[in-house]
Amino acid sequence: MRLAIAVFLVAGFIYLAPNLEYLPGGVGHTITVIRESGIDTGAWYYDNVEECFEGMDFVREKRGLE
Amino acid sequence: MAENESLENVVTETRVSMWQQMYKTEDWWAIWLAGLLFIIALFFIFTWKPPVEKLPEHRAVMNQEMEEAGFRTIAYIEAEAKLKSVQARKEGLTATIYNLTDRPKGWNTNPIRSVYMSEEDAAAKRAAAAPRYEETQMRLAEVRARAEAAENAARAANFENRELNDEARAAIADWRQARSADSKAKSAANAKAYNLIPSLIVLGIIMMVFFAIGARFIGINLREFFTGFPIIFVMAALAYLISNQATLKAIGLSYVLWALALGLIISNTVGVPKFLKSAGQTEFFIKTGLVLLGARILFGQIALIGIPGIFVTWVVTPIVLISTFWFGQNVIKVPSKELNITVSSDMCVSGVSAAIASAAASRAKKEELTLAIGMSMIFVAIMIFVLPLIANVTGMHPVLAGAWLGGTVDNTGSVVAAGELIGMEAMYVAATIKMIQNIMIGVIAFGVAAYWCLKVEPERACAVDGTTPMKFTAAGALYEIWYRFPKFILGFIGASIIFSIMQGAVSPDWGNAMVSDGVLAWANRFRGWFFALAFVSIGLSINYRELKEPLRGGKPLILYVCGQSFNLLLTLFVAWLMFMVIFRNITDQLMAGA
Repeated sequence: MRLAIAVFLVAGFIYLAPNLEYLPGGVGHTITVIRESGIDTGAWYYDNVEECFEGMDFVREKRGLE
Repeated sequence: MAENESLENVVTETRVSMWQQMYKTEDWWAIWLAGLLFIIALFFIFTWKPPVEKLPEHRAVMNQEMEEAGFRTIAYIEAEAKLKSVQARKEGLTATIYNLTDRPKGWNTNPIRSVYMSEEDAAAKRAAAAPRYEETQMRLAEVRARAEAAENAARAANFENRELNDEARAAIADWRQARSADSKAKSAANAKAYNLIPSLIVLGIIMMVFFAIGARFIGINLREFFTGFPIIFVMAALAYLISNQATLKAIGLSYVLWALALGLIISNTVGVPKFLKSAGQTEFFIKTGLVLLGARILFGQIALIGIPGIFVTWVVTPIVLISTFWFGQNVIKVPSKELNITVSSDMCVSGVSAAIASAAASRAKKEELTLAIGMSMIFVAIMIFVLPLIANVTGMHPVLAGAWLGGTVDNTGSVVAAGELIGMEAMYVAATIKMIQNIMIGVIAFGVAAYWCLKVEPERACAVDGTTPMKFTAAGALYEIWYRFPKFILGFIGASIIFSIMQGAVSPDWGNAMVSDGVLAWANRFRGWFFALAFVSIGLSINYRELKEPLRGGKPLILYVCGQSFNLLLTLFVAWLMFMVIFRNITDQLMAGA
């Protein structure tokens, strides 16, 4: 029974997660912006976050390190 | 009895002789197995080598174009794309194994899409994306023609006319954006059917056999291990699947959190059978993952933003870490030093990765690690919204804002997301600062392990039979450090040094093609899975009542809030001093052309 309740709660949260994008005060809009940018917000650095490599290229280029 | 129970719950090593340790402990087996993975990866990338002989050709074009024009021309960008497409992970059997480690894909409303897409669905997706692709192709051709015309005009003037150069730059920037949009549209328009389930099954079997090699020597019951491992693997895959829901992904609820949650649900509802406990080898999975993690820490990146970058990361971070730990011990008196150092490292270095390394180095309890990670994720989710808002409202300089975010927000992905909300320059500076700070993980893990050996638990420094406490002498200290030091940390540091030297010894292009996009690409994928397995195992081994104990009095929360507040203020001050006052020239370089 406790397992069923826990599964129901987790599944419910996941099902309702897209509604977070309708949160007021700019929060929902911010979530939408991040989602549309395709950034993996929970990624660790070893997850090969593409923007990190772009960032390092950007810095190298601007500082004339390449 | 109570002592035995508490030891079972600690990230620890068994006290046995050195030779026995080498083939009977997780620490050493983590090194052997990670080493085996590296050797196999090296064998594969040299057997199925990408066309690295073409790299100098592409680089020559880039150099020539840069020399002539002084900016990135069309030919430069095309040569760069060709150069970057040379990747060992795309070749032969290396690609097969790399693809095998694929995680469940992103999805919006239908979780099945994460692992399976039928031919019909793929066709429908292709059809839906086709008009957009046609549109982006037309736009690309149009923008390309404009960029070519502008570049030709600038070239005709030998790139000496500043106005023409600026026009060419702007037109080429438009073309690059159009290329990126076209590439995304193309990928949707070429959607293919997929079924990840068979590859996930094969991956599960490979990882089960991989860990079983060590498990046999460590003394784990193999029958129980083989029975329980598939369940843990399925839960790890499920954690990945949930975390790839688009909105959850955007707010940073990563697979770590879901792996813990799924494990906790099972352990606190139906309970964990003995075979599942035998298969849930948290320390083994974590330590193997950490040795693989070391290879990703490349010291060559430290100097990317020069002295200001080093100050924001390598000076502020240790100050905040030591101050927070001191504050926890002496002011709010956190009852567990292990919890204190785990929360402090998590908060001021790089979130989950640093928490894992510190927890393993200090032998923290699993619930302490869980608590540190949980707090970090909640605060990161808040910081992603609040810090960019402060930066935007106060009109903070993008480089300063980027340095501030990079030095304070815990997870790398979250740093990028927060930077995106400010602007491109802020995002790139933030990501680079974070990458420099991430290198600290190895140093911190080493320091914590040494400090714990020598200061926190001096009773560990005793005779080999574990009976006679002995006093430290100069001669005995080194031996004791070596004897008691968590050996996987050596593997972690060793991997970092070896791969840093490898990257430094070869040309950067060759290093990227063969090491970063070859061996390390493999290691990264496997490491992610090992940590997912570890966090499911942690969840399975924790009773929610155990989480109440370290939370008593709200001390970890106070520690995190106070430490993070100090971190935010000190990082902001040092970033301002470095980037806006002392090294303003570097800031101007980074903003040139913006």
